[in-house]
Amino acid sequence: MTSETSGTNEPKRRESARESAGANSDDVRFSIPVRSWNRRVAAPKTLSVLCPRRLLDENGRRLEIETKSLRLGARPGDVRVFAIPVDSRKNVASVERNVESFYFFPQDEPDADALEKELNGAKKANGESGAKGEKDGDSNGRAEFDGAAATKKSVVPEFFEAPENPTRIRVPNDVVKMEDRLGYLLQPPLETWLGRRLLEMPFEPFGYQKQGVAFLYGSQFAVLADEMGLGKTMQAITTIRLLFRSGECRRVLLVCPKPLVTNWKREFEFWAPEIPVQVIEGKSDRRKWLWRLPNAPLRIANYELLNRDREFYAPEGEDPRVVFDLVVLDESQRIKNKANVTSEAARAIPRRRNWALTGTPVENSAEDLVGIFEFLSPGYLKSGLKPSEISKTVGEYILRRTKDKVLTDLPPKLIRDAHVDLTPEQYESYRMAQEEGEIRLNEMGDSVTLSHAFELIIRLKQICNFDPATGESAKLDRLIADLEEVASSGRKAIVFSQWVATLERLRPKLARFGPVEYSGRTPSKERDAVIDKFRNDPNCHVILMSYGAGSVGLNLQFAEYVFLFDRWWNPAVEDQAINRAHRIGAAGPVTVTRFVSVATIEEKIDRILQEKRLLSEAILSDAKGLNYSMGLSQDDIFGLFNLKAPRSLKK
Amino acid sequence: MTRPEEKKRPTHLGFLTALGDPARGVIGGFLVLNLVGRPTEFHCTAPVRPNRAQEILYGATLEGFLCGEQIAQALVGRTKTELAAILTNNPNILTAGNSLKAPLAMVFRRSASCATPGDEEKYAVWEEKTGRNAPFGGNAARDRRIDDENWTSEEAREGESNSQRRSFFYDAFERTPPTPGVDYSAWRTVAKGRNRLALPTDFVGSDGRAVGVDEISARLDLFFKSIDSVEPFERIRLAVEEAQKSG
Repeated sequence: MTSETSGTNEPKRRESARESAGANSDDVRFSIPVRSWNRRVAAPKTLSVLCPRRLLDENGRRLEIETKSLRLGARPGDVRVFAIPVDSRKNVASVERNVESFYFFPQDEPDADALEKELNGAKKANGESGAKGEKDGDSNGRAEFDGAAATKKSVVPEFFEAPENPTRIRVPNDVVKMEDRLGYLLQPPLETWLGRRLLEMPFEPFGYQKQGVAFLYGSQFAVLADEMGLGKTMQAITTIRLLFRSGECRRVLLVCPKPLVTNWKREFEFWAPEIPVQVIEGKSDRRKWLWRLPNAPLRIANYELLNRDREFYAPEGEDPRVVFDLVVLDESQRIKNKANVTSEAARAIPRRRNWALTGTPVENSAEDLVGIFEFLSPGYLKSGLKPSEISKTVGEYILRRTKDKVLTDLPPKLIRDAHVDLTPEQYESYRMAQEEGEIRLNEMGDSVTLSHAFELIIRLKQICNFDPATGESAKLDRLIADLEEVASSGRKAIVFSQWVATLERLRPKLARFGPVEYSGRTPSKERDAVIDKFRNDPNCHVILMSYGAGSVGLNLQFAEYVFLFDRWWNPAVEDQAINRAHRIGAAGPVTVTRFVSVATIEEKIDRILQEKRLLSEAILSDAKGLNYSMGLSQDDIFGLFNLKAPRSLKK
Repeated sequence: MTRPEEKKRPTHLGFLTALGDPARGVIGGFLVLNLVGRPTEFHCTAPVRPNRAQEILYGATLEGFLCGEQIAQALVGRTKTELAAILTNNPNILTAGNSLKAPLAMVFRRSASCATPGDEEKYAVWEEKTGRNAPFGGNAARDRRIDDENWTSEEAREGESNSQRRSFFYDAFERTPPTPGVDYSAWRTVAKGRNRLALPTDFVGSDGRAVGVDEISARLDLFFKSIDSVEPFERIRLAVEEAQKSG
């Protein structure tokens, strides 16, 4: 009468641990230093491990230990030890020398005694709760972190109570085997995992963040495309944490732009202190070793390294030493062009599942999304589809929320376009440059190229910033006037420009506001110090940032003013820049001022940017009937000068 | 003699329920969770329909027979895991009584409004009008809760019911006796957070040792630190629906 279905592989894992835990005469006990542990146990400590020799393979090359004989305040059975390389089965002591760090995690293999102790502690704590709990709840540094939520946990409840509508793990549509589908359905809701003391969270996540975690947890491939500032970092880290705990992941690789590596490291320390983070950096030998280290659970690499280190993680003609259980690409728009080397390098990473994190999955054209999906699931998304078809095809694998939908209590973002009239001298320089440029383009006839047009655009935009002849700048005058107000009220502002040269010209002019600079020319080692100074120095009211260096990954929600001194080529990057300040933790409204020089090329570019915004909305919100544009097409670029794209280019 | 605290305590908890009705078929689902709420076993039945002979033979106790004797016995018999207790949210399963390998307890969720003193009063009015008493033994005043936020004083006075709401108390009150074949005096109710449980008073374990209400309650406290006592039934429902879809 009954039909049985095993919805989980838990029993198997336990049996395996039990078998290996049995000590016999072949077992050897040795001690090694523990490099990382969770916050309840001070590191480093010495870990005593019962190492069963019989688990060595024929060559004695690798040793997989799963043992219950750990002594470190850890509970028996809740620890998994990662593979350790050894030199020879004859010399077990060499294990000790070979292990630089010994990583392990508390697993979901609970111990009744420990829980009872915790329960009694909770009862006692609840008896003493009240003023202390409230006090704890008030003290936090949440504004420092991406995605920090509303309240800090203060009192441990005696009984766990799930909400009326708990957040359940999503069952992916591509999972068809019934056992696997039941495996998802039978998992506890997210609140059960996050609510218990075993998985400490520094802050209670928002509901939409829990949904994001539930979405990622069940996804073999997925794009988390939340608007900037909604906490993609926190959602990814929490999901990785849960995957580690459930034993579904052992090796994770996170790839991000180089300037964000320290930011990610800091976020991991905050949201998942028990996960040891290994940053892949240094000289070639060291990087090779780090790529091939079998027992590092989480590695962070930057995009720039991917291509250089390809032979380390995906050696040609041989099996990769390490296959990652999960690869996460942050700012995944970096691989939107599937033909570029970074994209190819990312696709070469040996992996079992992958996620992409980006606030701007569609920057220029629908092809951007094709590039990202080429990494996530090669061949799944074809080129040349209409936005509505793309939306239908990938809808299940993209989760995008916007602030206005989920953060109704986030302070408003006020965007104003400051239309500035160039000074007479500036305008004269502009007019001359434009006329000369257009004449030259015309004279070039069919030999004209896009780069010729771009050169002229850049030249004209630079004149809109500063007159090369006199150094005058109408924008600067307006900026200084606005900054006077910002500084007098003790607030802080971010000024973005496309060019480092512009920032360098601005810096002495804004000296009275104590400016600091954060651009591609700022050495990596000094970047954190620059941010700290901007955050903590009351006399430092302005940070000058280039779009390239400062538009992603930074949390500057203490700044209430953002000035876009000149405009970037696409609105997504501008949004990224604005959202450095307008994100969770923002104390007040964020005022964004976009400078546009009247009767110049900047006004025309502004119009094109508006159209690009519509394209993004058409794909991501499945809005039908939108008259979208493909952005800065050849016709657009030449149209800026009332010229038509030459026939040779159209071919 | 082995003292109770020296015996290795069970670290798993069973959740047993039956969905549907005899006409369409009753489906049983049994989920075993560890101390932190992760599933370790799941069993479910195909839809069970009584034959004509069983309908005649069991009459009003048919559902109790299907759920308590057929489904509960079969499902719980599949597991070899030692269980601290088996929770159910279906009163018909209570007919299994103490025949299962672990103490069988009934769980139900109180709605937020039930904690208000007004509910006690409503219940008292209803009790007076209908002449019915609390089905469970124990502290009657404490147990006088009505798990129905839509239960108004008028409804209480008239003894009307809302058939859509089938919380345990409600369900039990609607029957005379509430569930045929169930001896309610053999259970005692205790509060666990916002939920309530009816625990057996006379369970005897396989080793012949009597396990009292307090011990069962203490066992469950360990689980309810991490697990909501009602939520897992929703997991079973989702899994049973999925299994039905998959045939």
